[in-house]
Amino acid sequence: MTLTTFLTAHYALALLVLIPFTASLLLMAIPRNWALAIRLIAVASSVFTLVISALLAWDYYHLITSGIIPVHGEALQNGMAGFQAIWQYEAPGLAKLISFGPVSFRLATDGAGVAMCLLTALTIFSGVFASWNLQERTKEYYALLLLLVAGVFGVFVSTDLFFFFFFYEIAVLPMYLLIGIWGTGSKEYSAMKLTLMLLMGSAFIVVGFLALYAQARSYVMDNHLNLPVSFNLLDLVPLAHQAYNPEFQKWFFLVFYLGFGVLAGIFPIHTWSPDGHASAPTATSMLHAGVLMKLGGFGLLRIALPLLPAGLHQWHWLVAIIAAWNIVYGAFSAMGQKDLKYVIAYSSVSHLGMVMLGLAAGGAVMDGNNTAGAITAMNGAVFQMFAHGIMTALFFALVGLVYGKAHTRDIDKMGGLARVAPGLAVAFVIAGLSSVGLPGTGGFIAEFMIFMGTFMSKPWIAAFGTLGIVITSIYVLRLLRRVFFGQLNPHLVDMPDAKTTEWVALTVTCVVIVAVGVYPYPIIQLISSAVQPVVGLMAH
Amino acid sequence: MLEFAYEYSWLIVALPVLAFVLIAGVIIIAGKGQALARVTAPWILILCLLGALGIAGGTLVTTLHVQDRKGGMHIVLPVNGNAPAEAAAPTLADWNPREVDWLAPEPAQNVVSTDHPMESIRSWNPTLRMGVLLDPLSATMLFVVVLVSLLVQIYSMGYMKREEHPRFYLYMALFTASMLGMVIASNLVQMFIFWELVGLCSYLLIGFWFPKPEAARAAIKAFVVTRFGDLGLLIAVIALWLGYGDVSFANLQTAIVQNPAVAPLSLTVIAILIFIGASGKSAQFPLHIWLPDAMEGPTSVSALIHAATMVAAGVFLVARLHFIFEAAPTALLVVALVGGFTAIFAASIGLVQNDMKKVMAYSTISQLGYMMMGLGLAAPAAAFFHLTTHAFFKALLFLTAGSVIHAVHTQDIREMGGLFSKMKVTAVTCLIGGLALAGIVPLAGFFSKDKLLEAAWDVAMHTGEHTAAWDGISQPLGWLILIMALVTVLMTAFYTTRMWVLVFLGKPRTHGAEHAHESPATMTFSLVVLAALTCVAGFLLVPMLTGMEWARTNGFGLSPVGIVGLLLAVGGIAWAYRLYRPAPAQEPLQKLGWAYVGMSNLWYVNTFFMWLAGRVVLVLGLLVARFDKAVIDGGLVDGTAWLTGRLGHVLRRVGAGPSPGQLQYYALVIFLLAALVLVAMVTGHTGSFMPGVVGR
Repeated sequence: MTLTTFLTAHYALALLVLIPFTASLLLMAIPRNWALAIRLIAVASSVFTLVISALLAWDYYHLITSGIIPVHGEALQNGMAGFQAIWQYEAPGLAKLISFGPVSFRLATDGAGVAMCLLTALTIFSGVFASWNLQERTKEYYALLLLLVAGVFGVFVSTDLFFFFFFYEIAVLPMYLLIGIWGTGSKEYSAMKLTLMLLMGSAFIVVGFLALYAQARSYVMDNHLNLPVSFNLLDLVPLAHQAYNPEFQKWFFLVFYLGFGVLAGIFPIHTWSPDGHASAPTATSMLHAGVLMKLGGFGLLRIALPLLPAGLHQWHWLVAIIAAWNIVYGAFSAMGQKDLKYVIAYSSVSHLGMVMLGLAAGGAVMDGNNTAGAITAMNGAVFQMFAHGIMTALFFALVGLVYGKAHTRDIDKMGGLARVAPGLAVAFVIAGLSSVGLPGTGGFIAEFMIFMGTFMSKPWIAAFGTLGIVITSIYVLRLLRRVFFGQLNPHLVDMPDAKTTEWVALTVTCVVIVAVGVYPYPIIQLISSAVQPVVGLMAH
Repeated sequence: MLEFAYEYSWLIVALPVLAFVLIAGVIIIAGKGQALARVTAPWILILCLLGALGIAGGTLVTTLHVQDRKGGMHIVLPVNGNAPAEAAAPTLADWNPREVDWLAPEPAQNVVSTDHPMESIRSWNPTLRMGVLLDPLSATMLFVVVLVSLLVQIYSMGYMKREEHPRFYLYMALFTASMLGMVIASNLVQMFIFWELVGLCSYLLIGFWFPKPEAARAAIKAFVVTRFGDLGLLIAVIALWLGYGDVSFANLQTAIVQNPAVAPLSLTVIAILIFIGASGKSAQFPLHIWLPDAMEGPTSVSALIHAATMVAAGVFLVARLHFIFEAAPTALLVVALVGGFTAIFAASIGLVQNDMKKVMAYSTISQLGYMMMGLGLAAPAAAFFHLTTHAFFKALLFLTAGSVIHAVHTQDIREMGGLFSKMKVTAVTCLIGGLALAGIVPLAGFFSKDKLLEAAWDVAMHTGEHTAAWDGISQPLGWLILIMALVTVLMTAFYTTRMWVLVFLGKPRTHGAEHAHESPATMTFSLVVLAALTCVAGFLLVPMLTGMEWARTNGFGLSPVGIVGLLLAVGGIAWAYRLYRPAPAQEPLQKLGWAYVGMSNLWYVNTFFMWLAGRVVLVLGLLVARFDKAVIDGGLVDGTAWLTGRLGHVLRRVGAGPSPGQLQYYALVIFLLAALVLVAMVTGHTGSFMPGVVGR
C-alpha cells in the first residue's frame, strides 16, 4: 500500500475537515503573545491540508486514468453509474456517534469536490502567507479563518444534506466576526449586510433540504417501497426521478437557485459581495471570493442539478439570461469603481456570471441532444470556479499588499507603482490577464469552454455574454495603467515591494494560474468525471 | 539534414520559448543589478533564433521540394469547379498536418443526439490538438518571421539602452514564439490561442516605456481594439467548430468544400466575423485606430511587430482560411472593398503626417489594406507575396527611422533635414526601402504590387481565369477598387518621397540634426542586410511564388496595368520631389483646403472612437456603478432590510417580547417565514406530510 492510497482510502476526507478544526481549537488555547507559534500553527495546518488535497487530486486522477472511475460511456448511458464515482468514506465509530434518525455522518466526494478541495487548500495556504504581517488579535483571526476553512472542506466532502448545511453555516458565519472586527471602512454595515443576505439564502436552502427529504419519504411511504430514505444524497438520487414530480422540481429548483444564488452573487442579490469584500481583511476576502462564493455554484451542481434536473430545465432560460446579465453588468460596474477592492469585487460578480451561464447551459441537455455542449459548458463552469478562485485570491492578496504598503485603495491616488514594486506589478498583470481570459491562463480555458458549450444551445445569450470579455479587458487594463503604469505618484516613492512571506503567496497562485492555463487536461479530467454523471442524470 | 528540419519543425517555436524561459531564469538569478541579464539576454535570444532560422530554412526548402513533386504551387483550392488547367492543386490535407492531443474532454462517441436541426453536432469532437501544418504559406511565413526577428534583435542591441535589455528581450522572445506558434498552427483553436498571445506581447511592448502616460494608454488602446476584433474571430471559431465538428484547417477545408451550408451561421457571416478578427490585428478601417498610437513603443518593436509580422497576422489568417471566403463571395466583396478603402484612406492621412514613425504607421495600414484587397480579389498568393516583400522593406524603413531618431532625438521630420551626408548608410538603405514601398522596378515592392494591380485589373475587366469565385462583384465595383488601388500607388510614392526629402536632403533645420552621427554597426548591419533582401526578394520570391498563384501571373512580365502603376509611382516621386526639395516654409498640401483639414485630423475617425470610449462606455460604467449603489443596493436591498426592521418593530410591540438584537430578530423572522412556506408547499403537494423528523 503506497502512501497515497493509504491517505486517500481511509482518512483523507476526515483529515481535511479535522486538521483546520483542530488547529483552530489549538489556537484558541494558546496564549495570545506567542506570535510566531500562532503563525506556525496556521502555516502547518494549511500545509497539511494542501498536501492532502494534492495527494487526493493525484490519486483521484490516477483512478480516472486507470479506468477505475468511469469518465466515458457508461456514465452517460446510465445516469446512476456516475455516482459510483463518488468516493465514499464512512467513519464507523464516529458515524454512529453523530448520526440520528435519517441523518448520518458520511464523507464522500467526486472529481469536482476534489478540485474544489485543492482550490480551498491553495487559497488558505496563500492566504496565511499574504496576511503574515497582520498585528491585531492574530490568534482569534487565524482561529476563525481556520474554522471557516474547516467548514468549507466539510461542504465539499459531505453527502448528507444535514451535514452539508451544517458545514455550510460554519463556513458562512465566521465571516461576520472576521469582517466586523478586522475589517476596514464601514465594516459593521458590511458585515451585517453580508450575514443577513447569506442567512436569507440559508433559509431557502433549509426549506429546500427539508422538502427534498419529506417528499422522498412520503413517496416511499405512499407506495410502500422498501427503499432507504434519509438525508443522504446517495439515497435520494435513485429516488429523485420518481419522487420529485415536475411541479415539485420546478418550484424547489427555484428555492435552491435563490438560496445558493445569493452566495453565487446573482443579480440583484449580489450587493453584499462588493461591500463585504471591500471591508473584509485580506485573507478573508481571498477565501470568501476565492472559495466561499463557489459554494453557491457547487451546491447547485451537487444537490439541485442531480435531484431536480427538470427544475433546471424549466428555468434554464431565466438562469442563463440572469447569468449573462451578471457578466456584463458586473463588468460595467467594475469599470465605474474608484476603490481598487471594489473593482475586484465587482469583477467577481461578473466572473461568477460565467459559472452560472455554464451551469444553465447544462439545462438545455433535456432537449434530448446537446450532451456534448452541456458537458463542455458545465466543465467550463466548474473549471471557472477553480480558475477564478485562484485568480481572485491572487487579486485580493495583491490589493491587500498594495493597501498595506501604499495606505490607500483609491485608484486615483496611485500610479506608476511598477517602478517601485515590480514584483507586485508582474503578479497583478498575471491575475489581470487571467481575468481578461488570455490564453496561457486558466481564465481562457474556462471562458472558452463555457462559451463554446453555451453557443450550442443559446447562441444569442452567449453572444451577449461575450461582450463582457471586451468590457473586462477595458477595466482590467485601465486599472493596471492607473495603478502600476504612468507617472509614479510622488507620495509613493518609498513604497516597498513584496516581502519574503508575501512572495510565497504570490508565487504559488501565479504558478497555478499559468499551469492550469497551459496544461488544463488533468483538472478537466477530474471535473469531467463529476460533471458527466450529472449531465447523464439530466438527460434522462 | 533537411529531413531533420522538417521532422522537428516544431523546434522553430520551441527555441524562442526556450529563450523566453532562459531569459526569465537569468533575470531571476541576476537579482537586483541585473548585470548578468543585461549581457546575456540578447545573446540567448539571438542564438536561439539562429537555430530556429536554420530549421526554418530547411523546412522551407523541404516544403517547396515536396511542392515540386506535387507539380504545382497552390496554397488554396480553387472552388466552384473552376480549377486551373494543371489542376493538381494539393489540398491542405495533402500537406500532412501533424498533431498531438492537448486537451481531450471526451465523449465524441457518446453524444446522445436526436433529430436536431444541427445534424453535425452529433459528430462534434471536443478534442483540442496542437500541431504543425507546413505548406508553402506557413513555411515561407515562418522563415520571414524568424529572419526579420533575428535582424531586429541584432539591431536592438545598439538601439535599446542596456538597462532595458533583460525585459525587452524577454518580451521579444515571447512575441517571436507566439507569432511562430500562430503561423505553424494546424488548427483554428491553436491559432486563436497564439493569436491572443501575440496581442499580449504587443500590449507589453507598446507599453514598454510605461512611465510615459501616452505609452500606457496606447498599449490599452491596441489591446482593446484588437480584442474587439478577436471577439468576432472567437464566435467564428466556435461556429465553425460546432458546424463542422472539427477545427483543423485540413478537415475544415474538406468539409466546407463538400458541404458549404452546414454551420449554424451562414458561411458568409462566419467569413465576415473572421474578417473582423483580421481587421483588428491588421488594422483595417475602422479598427485601424490603434496602430498609429502603437508607435509609442520602441522603434525596433514597431519594425518587427507593427510593420513586418504581427499586423500581417490578419492577412495571414484570411489567406489561411481563404477556402471559406471563396465559398462566400459576398464576404470576398466586403474584404476587397474594406481593404481598398483602407489603402486609400490611410495613404491620404500619411500624406500630411509630420512624425516620421506616424508616416510609416499610416503607410503600413495602407499597405495592409492593399493586401486585404488582394485577398478579396481572390488573389491570396499575390497578397501573401506582398506580405513577404512588405515585411522586408517596411521593417527596413522602420529601422532606418529608428536610426534617424536615435541620432537626432526627435521624430518630427520638420526638425530634421540634411542628414544624407551625416548618415550615408541609413540614408541609402532608407532610399532603397522607400523606392520599394513606392513600387519602383526592380525592387521587391514593385513585383508584389504589380501582382495585386493585375488582380484588380482582371476583376475590373472581368478577364482572367477565376472570376467565378466572385460572381457577386459588379463591374463598377471592380473599377472602383482598381481606381482606389491606383490612386493609392500615387499617394504612396508621394508621401514616401516627401518623408525622405525632408529628412535627408536640404539643410539641417535644428541643432540636433546638425550634430547627428551614423548609428553603431549593430544597427547598420541589420539595415544593410534588409536592404539587400529588399533588392533581391522580388527575384527570389517571384519564381517561388508565381506557382502559388495560377499560371496567368507570368513571372517577371510587365502587365499593362503594372506599367500604369509604375508611371504613377514615378509621377508621385517627381511631384513630391519638386514640392519639397526647395524646403518650403509652409506645407504645400495646405492648398487642398478641406481635404487637408480632414487628412490632418485623421478624418475624425479617431476622434469619434475616443468619444465613444471616453464619453459613452466609461460613462456607462459610472452610471451602472451608481445604479447598483443607489437603486439595487440602496433601494431594493436596504429597502427590504428597512421593511423587515419595521416589521420587527411592529411585532415587538404586538408581542411585547424581549428586546432582541437586530441580527437574531431578522434570523428568527426569516426562519419562521421559511418554515411556513415549507409547510404550505409540502402539504399542498402530498397531503400526507407529518411535521417532525421521523426515523426509519
